[in-house]
Amino acid sequence: MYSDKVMDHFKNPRNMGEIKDADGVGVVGNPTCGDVMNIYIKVKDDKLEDIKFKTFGCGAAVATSSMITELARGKTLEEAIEITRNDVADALEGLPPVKMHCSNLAADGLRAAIEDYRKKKGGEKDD
Amino acid sequence: MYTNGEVGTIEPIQKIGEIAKDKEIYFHVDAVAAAGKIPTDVSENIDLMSISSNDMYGPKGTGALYIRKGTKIQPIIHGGGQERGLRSGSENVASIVGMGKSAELAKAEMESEAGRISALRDKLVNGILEGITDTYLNGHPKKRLPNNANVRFSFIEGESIILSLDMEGISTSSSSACTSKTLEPSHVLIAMGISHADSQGALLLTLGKNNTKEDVEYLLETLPAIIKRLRDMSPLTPR
Repeated sequence: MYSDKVMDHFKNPRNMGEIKDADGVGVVGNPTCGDVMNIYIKVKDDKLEDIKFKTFGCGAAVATSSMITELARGKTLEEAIEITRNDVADALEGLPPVKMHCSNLAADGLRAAIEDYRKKKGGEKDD
Repeated sequence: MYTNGEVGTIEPIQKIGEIAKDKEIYFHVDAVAAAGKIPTDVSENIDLMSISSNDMYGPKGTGALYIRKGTKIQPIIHGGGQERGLRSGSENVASIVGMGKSAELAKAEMESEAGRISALRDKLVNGILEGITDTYLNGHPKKRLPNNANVRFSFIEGESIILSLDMEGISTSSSSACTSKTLEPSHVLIAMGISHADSQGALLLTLGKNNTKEDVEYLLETLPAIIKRLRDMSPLTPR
């Protein structure tokens, strides 16, 4: 049911883990629907210097989290925020239709992490 | 259902039948999972009972409906009037004979096989509960089908467990939202009072006549590393 690429990322997830002193954290999903994704980012010179994830969920949820870290790492925040759910699914050589909405949360997670970073940075400026 | 489809609990069918009879309601029992594994009794309180061939290792696509004398049912397949007009269409004689044989074999082996399988099942359940923390049995420990083990693992999701086991050659199933067509968590586990999050980590293991002690040992060796990997990955795992 899953593409080889999805299975590869499920078996060997890239950049799995937590960034303890993350500049931004995005938390999306909830346990009721079966997927929870945490995306952690480190930002330097407006670029994503590091990105990691932790995910509770199905194979597609793990694979999309893993894939977004590969797609986003090194990109500027402007570029990274433009990554869509479809970009993630395409990079994984497709997802089963039923998974496109429920488990394909990684792009939302990254956007939430970038928003969190911007909010924190905004707060710092005010101090 | 004679036995619950997910957790294998043997239901108090006779008592339910008494209530139905008292209220003059026809009572149909789905005994597909139970037939051939535990004794199934059509007492005076049961009007209709369905069983299937493939769940007794018989030919697929054949089933039987027990109808108590005097119970009126409407046919849903009309035409040639076969089976006393109740189900039109030429009878699949080879499958009918095959189902009869599979029922005969299941009955002859039922007692010894139920003992063997339930011992394997208990070894499996105890091994999982003792070997892995934050793990629970779903359903009744004894009043369940001999071949049914349904366990749940906190902090992780069922589909990722079955995918991981599949890669190791072990076929299992789950009732997590991700594995269902409706994307809803199991109504059975929710009705049993298990939280939505915990119900996602359910794993259904069913044993069959070809399963051996070695199979159970292989699963018990393989599972802990899979659960650990997924828990390491989950943001819900406490640290």
